[in-house]
Amino acid sequence: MRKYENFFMVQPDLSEDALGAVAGKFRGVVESNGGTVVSYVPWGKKKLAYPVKKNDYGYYILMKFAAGPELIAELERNMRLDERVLKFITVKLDDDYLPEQNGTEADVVPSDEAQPGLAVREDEDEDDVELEDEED
Amino acid sequence: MAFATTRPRRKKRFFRRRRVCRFCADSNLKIDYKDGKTLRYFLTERGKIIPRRISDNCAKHQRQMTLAIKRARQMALLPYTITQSI
Repeated sequence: MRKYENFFMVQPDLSEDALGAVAGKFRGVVESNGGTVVSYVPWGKKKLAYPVKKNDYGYYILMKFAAGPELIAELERNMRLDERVLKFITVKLDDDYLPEQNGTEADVVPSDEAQPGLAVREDEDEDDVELEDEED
Repeated sequence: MAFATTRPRRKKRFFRRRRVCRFCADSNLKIDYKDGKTLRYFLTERGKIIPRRISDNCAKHQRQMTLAIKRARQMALLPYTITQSI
């Protein structure tokens, strides 16, 4: 089994029920094809960097699961057919993964802030100016 | 050859502080394509990826960074381009 994550975006104006239906559908696709859902975390509505199918907002969901490689094609086929899904990306996290041994993961929604430690960009571009000024 | 100059020349040879890659320096920092806010530090105002010589990333982390930025663009977390309105 491999560990994958599928990060996808659904229409922003879906009701609670509709979001539940989306969750049920894709969990079902994974589980009925021999995969195990490790975590399913709705990240909530976010502003998009560019409009997608005329939506300025999107509702992001991150699903991690363990499955074989054949399941990805089936899951992505389902996502492509589903009108509620605007975009998705599947990334392989681990080549060798056993969900039984690792248990489920905590459903943490990451904060909206950038990671600390990056904000300090002191005098970033200035030192390129200090090139050699010896002409003799 | 050597010209006499009236004003004294400071000889400043390539005074370049070599900074280390911030991802090597701090192992708590993670490069994640889902973390658009962090990735934005490595984009210009127009949405282009900042080159290594400016961002001071090492080759390894710059590679991870560009991959993460491109994935984030696919998911509309980061812009492909920002058009200036005139």
